[in-house]
Amino acid sequence: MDKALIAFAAAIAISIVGAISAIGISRVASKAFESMAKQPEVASNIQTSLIAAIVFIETCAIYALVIALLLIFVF
Amino acid sequence: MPDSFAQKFLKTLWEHLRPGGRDIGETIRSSINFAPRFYIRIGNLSIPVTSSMISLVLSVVILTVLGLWLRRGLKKYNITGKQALVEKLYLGVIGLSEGAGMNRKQAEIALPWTLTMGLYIFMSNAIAVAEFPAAAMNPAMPLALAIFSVVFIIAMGIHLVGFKGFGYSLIDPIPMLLPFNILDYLIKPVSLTLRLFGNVFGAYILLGFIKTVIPLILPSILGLWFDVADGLIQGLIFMYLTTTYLGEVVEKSEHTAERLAQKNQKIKHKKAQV
Repeated sequence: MDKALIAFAAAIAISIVGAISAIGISRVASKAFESMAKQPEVASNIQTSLIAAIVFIETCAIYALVIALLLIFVF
Repeated sequence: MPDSFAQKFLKTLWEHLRPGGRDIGETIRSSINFAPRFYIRIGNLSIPVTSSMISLVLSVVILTVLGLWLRRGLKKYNITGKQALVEKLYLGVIGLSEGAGMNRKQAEIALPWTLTMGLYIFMSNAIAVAEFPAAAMNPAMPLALAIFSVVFIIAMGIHLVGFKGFGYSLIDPIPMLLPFNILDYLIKPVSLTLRLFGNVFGAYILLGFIKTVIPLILPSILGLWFDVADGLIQGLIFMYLTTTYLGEVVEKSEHTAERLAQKNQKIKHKKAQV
C-alpha cells in the first residue's frame, strides 16, 4: 500500500477523534464546574464522577490512537 | 592518528545530542521490539526475559524497599510525616471505594489489590524517567493486569455478595440484559488494556519524537509529565476503575434484591387482598 495514504488515514483517525473528544471533555468539565460552583458541599462527589466521565471519553480517543499507531507501524 | 578517548566521547555525545541526529522511525521501530532480550535457563526450561519484565522486576524491588522503609516505626500517637502520608493514601482509597458503592468493611477487603495495582502501574511507568522502557509499552503487561483484575472483580464480588448476589448483579435492570452483562466482563479487560497501553505508548512516541528533534533539556522536563504524572494518573485510573467495577457488582446485586423483594411484597399484598 501507498505509504502516504496510510499516514493520511492515521492522521484522519486521530484528528477527528481528538477534536470531538476534546469537545466532549470540555463540555463535561464546564458542566461539572458549574454545578460545583452552585453546590460546593457536593464538590468532592462531582469531582470523582468528573474523573470517571473524562476517563471514558479519553478511552475512545485512545482507541483511535492505538488504531493510528497500528496503521503506521503494522502496515 | 587514532582518536583519543576524549575525542571519541565528545563525538558520540555530539551525535547523540545533535538536533535531528537520530532517525525517528528507526528509534521508534527499535523500541517497539517486543522480542526477548535474553533467556534464563533453569535445567531444560528457558524463560524469555523481555525489557518490560526487567522494568517490572525493578519496580517491584523499588516498591518492596519503599514498603519496608515506610512500615518501620508505625505509631498510634505522634505519628511521623511518612505515616501520615500512608494513612492519607489509605483513607483516600477507602473513600474512593465507599463512593463506588461499597461499605467500609468491603472497601477494606478490596483495598490491598486495588492499591497494589495502582502503585505497581505508577512505579512501572515512572521508571521510564530513568530511561528504562516503561513496562506498559509491551501490551502483554496491561493485558495480564486487566485479566487478573477482572478475575479479581468476579471472585471478590462473589466473596462480598455471595453466589446469589453475583447472579443478581448480572440481571440488574431487567433479566433480559443478562447477555450484555456477561459481555461486559469480556469488554472490561480489553478496555483496561488498551487504555493503559495506548496512553503509555503514545506518550513514549511523542517523547521519542521530541528527543530526536530537540535533544537538550526539553525531553527531561516533558518526561516528568509524561512518565511520572501520566503514570500516576494511569495508576489512579486503573485503581479507580477496578474499584468502580467492584462497587457496581455490589450495588447492582443490592438493586436486584430490592426489586425482587418489592415484587414479592406486591404478590403477597395481592394474595392478601384476594
